[in-house]
Amino acid sequence: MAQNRTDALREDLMDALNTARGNSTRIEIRTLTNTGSAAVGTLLALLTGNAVGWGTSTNGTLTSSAITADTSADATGTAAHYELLTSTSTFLEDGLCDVGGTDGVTIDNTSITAGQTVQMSGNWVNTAAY
Amino acid sequence: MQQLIDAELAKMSEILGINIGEVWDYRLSTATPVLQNSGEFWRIEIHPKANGTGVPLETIQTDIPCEKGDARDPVKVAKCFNLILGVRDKYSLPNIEELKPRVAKINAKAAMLANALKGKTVAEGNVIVEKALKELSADIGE
Repeated sequence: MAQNRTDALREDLMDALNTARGNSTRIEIRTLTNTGSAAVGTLLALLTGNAVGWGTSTNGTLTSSAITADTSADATGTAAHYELLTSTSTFLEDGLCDVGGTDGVTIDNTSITAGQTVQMSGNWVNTAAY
Repeated sequence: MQQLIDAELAKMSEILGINIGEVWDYRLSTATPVLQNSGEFWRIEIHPKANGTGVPLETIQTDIPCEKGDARDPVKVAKCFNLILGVRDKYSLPNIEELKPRVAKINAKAAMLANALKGKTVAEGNVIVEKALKELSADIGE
């Protein structure tokens, strides 16, 4: 059965996600595929969500504000997934890294060397399904 | 002994329960703490930084009840942070003292960046980051 949501509901869903992620969210870049559990693979880099809040929700689309780069990656490896935790390190969600895309962690190169800079190459956008 | 107790009390009084950086810097450790507020009570998991399988090295079961919407409850988080402090040092990197000055510089720059990026878009932020990174590279000799 097809599902249909109003724009108002989609907006509410993204507002809830925005609130849950909150300010100074920890974005851990890790090796291996995500499993739904915290701390899978090797922690390569740590990016930090915006200090005033995750982002802005408009018409069911949540767009992140600027995310602070990691100026010195902690380890060498291939970035495969991200884990998102609150600023207090409570686990929220995980997902695959997207290279050059616009969904989730978008980094320009997944081959990370310890000490290098790791930063977003674009907005982190989430769109609520209709 | 009293001095030690006073020092610990002073440290605990500084814990606000706002950011994990108050009690644990992953750059100085072999592990990272994760708070879990699902189930009946909060629990703290200590995971390895490398080759993690999702199975924690250590789990601290608390008596802090889980309630809907309490992920950022500063009182509950501060209690967890105090428990984290009790196990932190056994996961310290062996060369922690050598690393501290460099990590302090990285953290100071990260704090400056976070402040400069407040409310900015990713595109605006990237311009600021590029400039700051050049300064940081010169500062820490990389």
